[in-house]
Amino acid sequence: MTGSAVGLPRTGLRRRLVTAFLLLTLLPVALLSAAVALLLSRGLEQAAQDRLQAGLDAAHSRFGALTTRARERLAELVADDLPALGSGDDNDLLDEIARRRELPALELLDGAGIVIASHHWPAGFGLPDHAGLFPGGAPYRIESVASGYGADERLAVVAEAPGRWRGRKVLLRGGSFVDEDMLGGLAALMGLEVGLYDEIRGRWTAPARSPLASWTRPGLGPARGEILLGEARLRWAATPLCSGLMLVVAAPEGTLEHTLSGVRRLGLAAAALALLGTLAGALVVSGRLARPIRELAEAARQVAGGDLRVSVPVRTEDELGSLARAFNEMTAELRLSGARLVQAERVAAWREIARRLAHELKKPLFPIQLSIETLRRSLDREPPPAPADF
Amino acid sequence: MKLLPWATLLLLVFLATRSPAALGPRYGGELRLGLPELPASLAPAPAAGIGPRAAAGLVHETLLGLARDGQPTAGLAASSVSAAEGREWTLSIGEHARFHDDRPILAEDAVRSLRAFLRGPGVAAAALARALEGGPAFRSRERDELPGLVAPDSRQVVLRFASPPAPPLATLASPAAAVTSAGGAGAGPFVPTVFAPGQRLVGTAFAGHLRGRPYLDRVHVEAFPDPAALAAQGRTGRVDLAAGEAGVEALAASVLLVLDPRRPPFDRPAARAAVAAAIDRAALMGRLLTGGAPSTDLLPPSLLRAPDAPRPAVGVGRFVPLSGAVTLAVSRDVPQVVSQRVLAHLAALGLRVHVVPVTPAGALNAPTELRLLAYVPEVPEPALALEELLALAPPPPDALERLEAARREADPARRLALLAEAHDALRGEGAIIGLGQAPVRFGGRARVHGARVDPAGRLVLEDAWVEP
Repeated sequence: MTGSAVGLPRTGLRRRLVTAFLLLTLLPVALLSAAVALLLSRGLEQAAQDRLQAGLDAAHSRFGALTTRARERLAELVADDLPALGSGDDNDLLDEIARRRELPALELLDGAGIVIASHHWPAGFGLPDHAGLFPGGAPYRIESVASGYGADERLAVVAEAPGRWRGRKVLLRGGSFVDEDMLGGLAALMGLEVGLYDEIRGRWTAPARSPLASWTRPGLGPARGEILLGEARLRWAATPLCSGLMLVVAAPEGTLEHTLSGVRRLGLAAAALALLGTLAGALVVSGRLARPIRELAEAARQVAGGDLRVSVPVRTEDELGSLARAFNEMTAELRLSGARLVQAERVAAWREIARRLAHELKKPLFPIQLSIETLRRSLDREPPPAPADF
Repeated sequence: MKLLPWATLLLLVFLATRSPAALGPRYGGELRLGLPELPASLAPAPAAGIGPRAAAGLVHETLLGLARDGQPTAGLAASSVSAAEGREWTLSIGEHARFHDDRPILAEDAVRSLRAFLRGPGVAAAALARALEGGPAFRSRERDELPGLVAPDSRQVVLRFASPPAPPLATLASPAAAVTSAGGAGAGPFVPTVFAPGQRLVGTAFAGHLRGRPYLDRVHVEAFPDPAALAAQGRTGRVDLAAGEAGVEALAASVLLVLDPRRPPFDRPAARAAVAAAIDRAALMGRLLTGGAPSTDLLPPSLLRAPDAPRPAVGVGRFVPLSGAVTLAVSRDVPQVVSQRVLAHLAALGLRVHVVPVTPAGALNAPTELRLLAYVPEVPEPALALEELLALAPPPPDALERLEAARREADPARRLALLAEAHDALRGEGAIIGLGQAPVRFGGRARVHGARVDPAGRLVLEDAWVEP
């Protein structure tokens, strides 16, 4: 009979030990990983929110600076340029002033709101000013700007100043355009998507490739949120520049997700490494623990096979050592008992032989004794026959 | 005393050398020409737009040309004789007329070219086919025989009409009626040696040209679809002549705003009248387009002196507010500032206008509510031009009637009067709004001389020369 045949698996105990070790390790490792991931995720989330807020603050401040600059330059224009105005075409003069004062948006209106001349929309002279306004006298306007065969509607940050042009009262309006280049530069500087959403007209001013421009019908009520635009998931924050005009900054969630996923991957790798280490340790330890038991089982199997000379090494002084020692004592005792048993069996065998011998000896003597007794009784009753009768 | 003549002579020589133009034309040199577009093919076609017209003028020659007064002038045909009370015309091809491949131009070449022309697009082809004997059936491909067009010998082409054409033979001046060889060679002043469709054309002087070899050795033509880029090429001298720059010009184009009267909001006559009245033509043509002439006429005054239109009441448009979104197709021949101004007026009326730039050919039949084009007739002849205009928008019946009457009218004065009435009826419909006459111009470096623009708005470089 083989070992397996008698139902003693060679690895059962070891497997159970390894499993136990792994189970004992898995839980703490998992808990630790989850805790680290959670802490890091919260930290990164907060960092992203802070970054968006910083972007909003920076952009807000930039638009404020544009307004201030427009106001200052217009004041200089009224004070210095208008009194020294030469002769010539109104548009040409205004173009020259606009270039000198670096005012991309500059127009001149009469008291009735009719455009006298416009630097950015030369075709608009003599027509009513129909720029798009925002409520509350905000410095933001949607202006028509000459572009190819038509016009573009562009958001401008402007200031206004009254003045006199060729002896008549006029209103000068000038400033800068919030165009894609300007927003693109701002976005590149901050590493964020930047856009302005005109809630009145439902349209974006944003760099050409910005995913914000594809955001139709945004609900910017809450100050921040997340949105999936095409393939990009964005984390955004918004603040009003004026009534009806929202400043929006956004960062692709991919960046944060990328970091978080990196952390997760690192945590998983560390956990896997820990589990591998545990497995290796468990294999070694379980091997050491299982080996004496396996040796005992093997020895027991040999004893069961009748080999009482077997003994197991005693390697430790612990319970397993005691067990091995007890086993060895047991086999020694069994050997002794075996010898006694053999002796007893011999004695019994001799006794049996003697009894049988005695029985066998008794068996032929009995008929002889009967014959003798029969003869004696015959002799007693009759004379003995003559010897000739024999 | 004897020194004075010598001193005068020396002074003249000095002045002449300082100012080469004073020495007059000289052979040689190259000219770089910038155009907004070039055609996709050099095959004869009704050329719409500055670029295709200029290219056709460089490469091709027609049997006849048209003078400023509308009368036919000699082209490949050196002479023409009428018979049968003006119903038969015999054109004699010039003895020395040759194609670019040096083959002589024969009557059979002219007949073959005219047969192709008659089956092609364009108002001139349709008008000629309508008038020629057997022409309608030939144009509609019902029959291949064309008894109205024959070549009795190698030099003569005979055209037979059902009734005397008025004016005679103007249709043959269409660029689509240019004569080419069987292999496609033209007979214009320059031989196309390099042609990248739509992009580039290099023409070399044709020594065998019927009016003599051009002064220039070579003309390099390049297309610059972006008007700003084209203007920059002209201003920086990278091209010698650029379309749209001040220089040589002719008041050959009518700036027209075409409204689709079948679609809102222009299905209302009041809306069309509001647009016509709202546009300040004086500001548009006077202040924004130097050299332009404000006018409500649909054709240049050199073609047709129309009766004075009732002066549109400026500001009427403000009382007929319009609304809605419309698309305005703008021909690239129209100066951008003119388009911007029209857009400003339309926006002031309350319309939201989406502007789409299109090619001059595309502007003729763009399916948009509005079209803005610098219209130059295929042939500078009033009846043909009016017929072309009538195709731009659904024509009013009275305009059609008067045009038909003008075709039948033999008396030139009465004919012109009928054409003027047809023009007035078309203008009164309000679907085609005349904004003014715009110059077709080419300008650039001062060292170019002798270039001109003909009444058909075509740049003519046969007599052009450059200072060394």
